[in-house]
Amino acid sequence: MKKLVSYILAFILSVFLIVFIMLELVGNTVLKKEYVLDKIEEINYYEDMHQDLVTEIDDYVEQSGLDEFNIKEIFTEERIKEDVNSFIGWVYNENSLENIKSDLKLEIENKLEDSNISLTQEEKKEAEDAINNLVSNYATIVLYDAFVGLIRDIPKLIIIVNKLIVPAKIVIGVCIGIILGILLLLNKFKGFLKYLGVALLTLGIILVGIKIWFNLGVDLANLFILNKAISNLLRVILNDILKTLNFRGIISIFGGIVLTIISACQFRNN
Amino acid sequence: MPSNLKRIVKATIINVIVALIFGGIIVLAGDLVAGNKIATIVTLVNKMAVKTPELKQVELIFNKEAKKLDTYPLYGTKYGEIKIDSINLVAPVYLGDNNKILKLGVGHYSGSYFPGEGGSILYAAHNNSYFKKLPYVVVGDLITITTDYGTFNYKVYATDIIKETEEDKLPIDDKEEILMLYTCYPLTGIGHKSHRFVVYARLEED
Repeated sequence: MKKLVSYILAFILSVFLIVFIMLELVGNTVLKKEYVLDKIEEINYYEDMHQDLVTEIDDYVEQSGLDEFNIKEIFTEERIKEDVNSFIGWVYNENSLENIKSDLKLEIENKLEDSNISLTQEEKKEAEDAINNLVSNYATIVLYDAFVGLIRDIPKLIIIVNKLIVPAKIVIGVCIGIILGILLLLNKFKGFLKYLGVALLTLGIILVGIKIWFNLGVDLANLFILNKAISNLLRVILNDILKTLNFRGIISIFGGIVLTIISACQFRNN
Repeated sequence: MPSNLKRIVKATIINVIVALIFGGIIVLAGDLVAGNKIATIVTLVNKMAVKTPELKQVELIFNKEAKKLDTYPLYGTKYGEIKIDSINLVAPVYLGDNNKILKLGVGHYSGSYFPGEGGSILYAAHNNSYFKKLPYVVVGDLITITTDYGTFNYKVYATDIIKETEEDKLPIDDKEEILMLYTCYPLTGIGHKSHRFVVYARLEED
């Protein structure tokens, strides 16, 4: 009976450990703005995005006649970096995106005025339509404007999750502590290590198993969502998380085996 | 085997088996709770995986009896060259007419026939690059398409300015081998170009 209870507690302990590790991982990666910005720098996100943007608008600018006004000069990598950082800031609730499109439109219109090329009324109207389309294209590529309906709630979600994550970790930590205490009481030190070993082995098997399942089942290498820049970012973040899971899984398995061996040796001494 | 070692090995094996059973229970529970959602997400992600095919040059073999190509070029590959002496145009011809291809040369609409097949052929290029002088082509001008499987000469018999929606003026059929070249029109001005300048040329049988 004591053995059965101990194994059940070891099982519950392993579940709590898995949840704790996942919360800790998510809290230190995708929920942290600095982590995402670091990854963005790592993969030349701005350069890829700039390339995608230039490819997209190049033909449009030339075909619409706006190339005469050197409009393409406005779309620099520095501008993209600034606007992408603003977008990331918006996702993590640090700023708004209200002025990005209007500032861009104003800059393009000023470029047209500074050129001193005279336009007919009809050409002015055509130019305004062309500029609106250009700004819209820019916002779609850089700010994922077309998906605002889908991503609008992400900032709120991040606030809620960030608020809950620390209390959740505390609660789970307390539960883990209680279970460890009960295990120690039920088994003294002899069996405690054995059941802790089982819990760590289970944790390790699940974590390593997640990585293996992902590698076998998900075609991450060829992932393409929207554009090259965001695809690379998602790929590098997922690979990073999987690598961390794998590493922690291997450490857990190793730790589980070591504790099992020590507990078996303990039995021998008694 | 010493009894200590036996005990250690036995304990380790038991613990590993128990851990595998616990792991299986957790996976099963996870599958029951969120299995469908996870499967849907994985399917979606895999559908979004894009394996870019390697663009190889295919050897083009023309079947003279059937008047058809036995092998066709891959989309996005160059398969020929267009030459119009009257406007000093020499440009590569690619199969396909997306933006990427139109930056590289003249694009062949993949829904039309190939030179020598006896049907209509549709080529496009931008009005600020390869076809910027297309509106200067006149009736009687010669157009030469050179491919690995043959050289084909066409004589211009008409030009026209059509609306972008008038697709019936770019008919794709096998009644006669007509080469149609088109580009956005007018060449200058601001805004969307709602017309196309089209050159129609008939195959000159040797």
